[in-house]
Amino acid sequence: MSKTICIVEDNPDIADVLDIYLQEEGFEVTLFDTASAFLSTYQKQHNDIFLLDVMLPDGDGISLCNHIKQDPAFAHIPVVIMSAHSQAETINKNSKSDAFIKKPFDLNELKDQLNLLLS
Amino acid sequence: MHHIKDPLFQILFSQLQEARILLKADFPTLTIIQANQAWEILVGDSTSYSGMSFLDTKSYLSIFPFDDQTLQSKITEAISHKESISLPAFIHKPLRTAPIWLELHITAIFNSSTVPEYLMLTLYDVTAKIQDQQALRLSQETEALLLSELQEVNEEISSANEELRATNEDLIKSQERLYQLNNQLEEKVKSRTKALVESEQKARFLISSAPVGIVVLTGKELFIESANQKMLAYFGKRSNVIGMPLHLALPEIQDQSFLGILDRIFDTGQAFYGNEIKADMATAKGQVKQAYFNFVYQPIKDPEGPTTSIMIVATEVTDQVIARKTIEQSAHQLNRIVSTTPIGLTILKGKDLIINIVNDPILQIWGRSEKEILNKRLIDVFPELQQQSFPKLLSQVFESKKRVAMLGMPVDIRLPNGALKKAYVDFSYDPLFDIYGNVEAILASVNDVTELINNKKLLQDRQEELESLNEELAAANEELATTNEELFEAQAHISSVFEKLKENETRFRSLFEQSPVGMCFLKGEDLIIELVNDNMLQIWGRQREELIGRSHELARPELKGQPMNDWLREVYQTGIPKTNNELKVRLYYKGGLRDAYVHSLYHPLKDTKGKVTGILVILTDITPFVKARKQVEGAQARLNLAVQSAELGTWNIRLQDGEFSPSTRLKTILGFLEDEEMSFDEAIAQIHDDYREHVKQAIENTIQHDEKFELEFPIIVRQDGTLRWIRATGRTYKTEADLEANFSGTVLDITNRKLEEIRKNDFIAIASHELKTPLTSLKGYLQIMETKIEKSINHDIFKPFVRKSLLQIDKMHSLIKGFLDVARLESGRLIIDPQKINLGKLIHEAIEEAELLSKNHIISIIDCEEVEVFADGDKIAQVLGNLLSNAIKYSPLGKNITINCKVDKDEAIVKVTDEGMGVKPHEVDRLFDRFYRVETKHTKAISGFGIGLYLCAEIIRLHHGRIWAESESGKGTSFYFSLPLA
Repeated sequence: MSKTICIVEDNPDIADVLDIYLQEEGFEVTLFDTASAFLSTYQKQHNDIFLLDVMLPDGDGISLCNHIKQDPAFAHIPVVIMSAHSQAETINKNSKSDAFIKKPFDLNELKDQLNLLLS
Repeated sequence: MHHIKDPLFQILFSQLQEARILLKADFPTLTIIQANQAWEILVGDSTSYSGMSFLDTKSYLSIFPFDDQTLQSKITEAISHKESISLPAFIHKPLRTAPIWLELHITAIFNSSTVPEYLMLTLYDVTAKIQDQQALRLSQETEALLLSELQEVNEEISSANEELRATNEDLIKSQERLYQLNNQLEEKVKSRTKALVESEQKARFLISSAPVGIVVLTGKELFIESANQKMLAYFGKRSNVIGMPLHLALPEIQDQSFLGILDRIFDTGQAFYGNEIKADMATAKGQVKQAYFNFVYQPIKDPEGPTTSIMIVATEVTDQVIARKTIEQSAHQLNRIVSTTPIGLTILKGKDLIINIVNDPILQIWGRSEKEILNKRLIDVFPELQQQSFPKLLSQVFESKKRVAMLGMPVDIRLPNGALKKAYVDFSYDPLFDIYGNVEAILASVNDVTELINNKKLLQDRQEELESLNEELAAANEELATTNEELFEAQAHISSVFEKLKENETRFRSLFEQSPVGMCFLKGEDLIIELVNDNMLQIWGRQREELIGRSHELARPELKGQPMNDWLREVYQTGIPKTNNELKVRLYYKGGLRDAYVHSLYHPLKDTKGKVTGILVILTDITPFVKARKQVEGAQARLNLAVQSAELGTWNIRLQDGEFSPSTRLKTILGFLEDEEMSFDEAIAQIHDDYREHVKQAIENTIQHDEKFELEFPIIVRQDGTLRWIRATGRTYKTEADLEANFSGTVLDITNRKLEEIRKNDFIAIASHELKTPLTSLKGYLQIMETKIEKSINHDIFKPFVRKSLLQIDKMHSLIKGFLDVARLESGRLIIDPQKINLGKLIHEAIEEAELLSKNHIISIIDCEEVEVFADGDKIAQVLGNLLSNAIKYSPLGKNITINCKVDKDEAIVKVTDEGMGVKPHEVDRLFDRFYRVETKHTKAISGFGIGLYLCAEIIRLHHGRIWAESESGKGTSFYFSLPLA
């Protein structure tokens, strides 16, 4: 059965790449380009894993991750943080995220990481 | 009747020793038949009694204390019992002889029938018997009293009181007992009216034999209804007072309080208890005696309620009271003795040493008032005594029961104002014994002899002072004698010196000649040059022949216009030497003149009378030194100017003792005031936490290994806490001749440049991030393309293109990463997160990655597997990656690359060796500089920005490690770095 991945990414090209690639790999992909769009919707649908970008126009992925992890109904769902910002990894060490992926990423490595968290 | 007339009976009767009287049993007349001689003598009644009624006789009326009724009842008893009946003994006081005790016996004489015919009354003198009894009782009483007295001595007055109260209770008890008996008797009277007489007698007997005085007073008039012997004895009256009102019977009590009390009992019906009440009682002899009684006035009420009579039960306690009073008096006397004794006395009671009695002298010694100390424990009043010997001495007295006395004992007494009074006392502790021979209290006598002792000490001190003065005088005398001797010796010495003088002159001459300074002797008022040495000739630039025998002024015309000749004349005239330091003069030199600097001394020479005879001139030419110094000074001044205009801070550390001298500018750079002291440690403390250790290490290296000191680091300005960047450079200057070895250098505030740099670095960081974002999607698209391309036509053409595009993206990524790291370093934002890691594993990973770059090199690892270090794994991997890629890049022909680990003390040293082109020695130090690239024709082709090694150095620095390189051009390079062990 296919897994549902919820992605928050404001860069349309990266979002596009992820959408194409992950669908190819058998994921059901939901995309949001802002934090607010994500927050208003994510609870209404089924998600198996979250992939969040750090720098967003109206917020950041680390705060979103903390928000998810504080919600008892969603805390068990794995969250992966991704960023091109070098210091994001350091900041992320204090969050409850399950993994961090540096941009630019290798799609194969990304896929392996996601599958590892879903297994 | 005939028997009586019988002459034989007459003789027998009249000569009987017992006093007898024969009466007719004709009751109630009792006609006297006959009394014998003994009777007549005893009762002192010589008249013939025959035919008279016995009741009318003088003897009956005056001697017998019985009333008619008593007599009558006794007679009845004698008749009914048909035996001799005795009446209680009574005292008879004849006029001329001593009082005697008599006892009357009644015997009924019956004729034939049961009708009595005669009564025989016999009086026995029982004085001896009674006296014996009384003596016995008295002695018993005395004994008891003595006993109680003894006990009273032992006990407090209160306990005596208790005893008396107990006696009182006894009295009440016996009184109650009697009361009960009385009640019983009354009942008996009611129920057995026939036995009335006997019963009443029994009651009377009980009362009369009671060991206490009992009297019953009836009615408001207080008729003495009955009174026993004891009470009569207390009253000092005989039984004839019975029936009389009390105030008539005892007229002596009229003025005392008793009658009033008794009256009140009738009114109130309340019993009255008297305790040790004093009463003036009449004695039998008619005198008045003071006596003390414990008594009860007990109202006796009839069944309806009102008091009909009062029973008084009393015991005399006069002796006890007197005994007690005696004790009280003796205690009072002791008190008075103590208080009037002129030496300090106190009585300390019990082992607790309760201060019982004190007198004024002891209060004065103690510096206390009576109120403060009385009835308190000695140790509570004088806690300071605890440390002194007195309490111990006192308790010894309790045990040894012996007197303790000492003279001139020092004692410290804390006065109420807190001051410590030092006193000396003579004292004695006398034990006071109780009746069991135990020490009950201590009589302490204390005499303050402080003044005496002090005077004695003062006297002693004075004497000692006098003695020491004497000794000093003696010593002074000796010193004077010694000085005299020394003077003699000195005189002798002087004469010997005189003799040596001649000898010396010769020696002086040679000294003069060989002296390393210029010397010249000018003689007389004209200052004729008499002697001049070679050195002087050189300085003056003259020949000896030009000078000797000529006046100084004329011989050296070059001095015209200079002040020297005037000075010489002045010295000659005044006799005062003149010195000039660093005097600038123009001297004759090779036919011309030269500028010179000299130290000069003009010393007047005097004869024995003190008259100046000549001048000794001494000169040193210091021209070369002064010129050199002036040159240095000039250079220094220019340097100072440069330092000042560049706003350079400078410092100097003297290596010998570490003395640190910072310049004013350095102080202000670090935020100190210009005139404030700033130590080396204080200066170091201003360095930013992240850099301080590194700077200290660099300074240490410079001092120890002569390394060049050149660093840029941030400081926190002490005054306002702002962060500023400085650039510090310096070096050690080792000992050169007389210069002390030191480490000195300059500090330049480079904040503005640095901030500019940081802004630039921030820009690079943002730019890097912005560059990475398109790179991400680009790489993503290419990777998707790579997977799709298999299925497309011409995939064998496109596939390598995509692969190469991906490699270019990785290269670009690593370039961006490099810039970013440098930018982070420069802005101080490169943070390391050290953990315990295995160095071997890290190196293996780095080798795996490096091997991807080149297939031509063999990378080997030696001795690294077991090494654990405390470091940030990612960062060290970056360092290793950089060193390996450099080794590969710069050794295109070399084959082997070796990584070697070594543990040294508390650090691990990693060495990466290649067989490459090597680096020239002068370039080795600069390898780690930012953007530095070794420029040779070989390296032109090698790409790079020159930030790799700089980054490595910074990462190692942040780990508090060291990094360095060793190289031989053409043979290869070894890079080393050290890391702290885990």
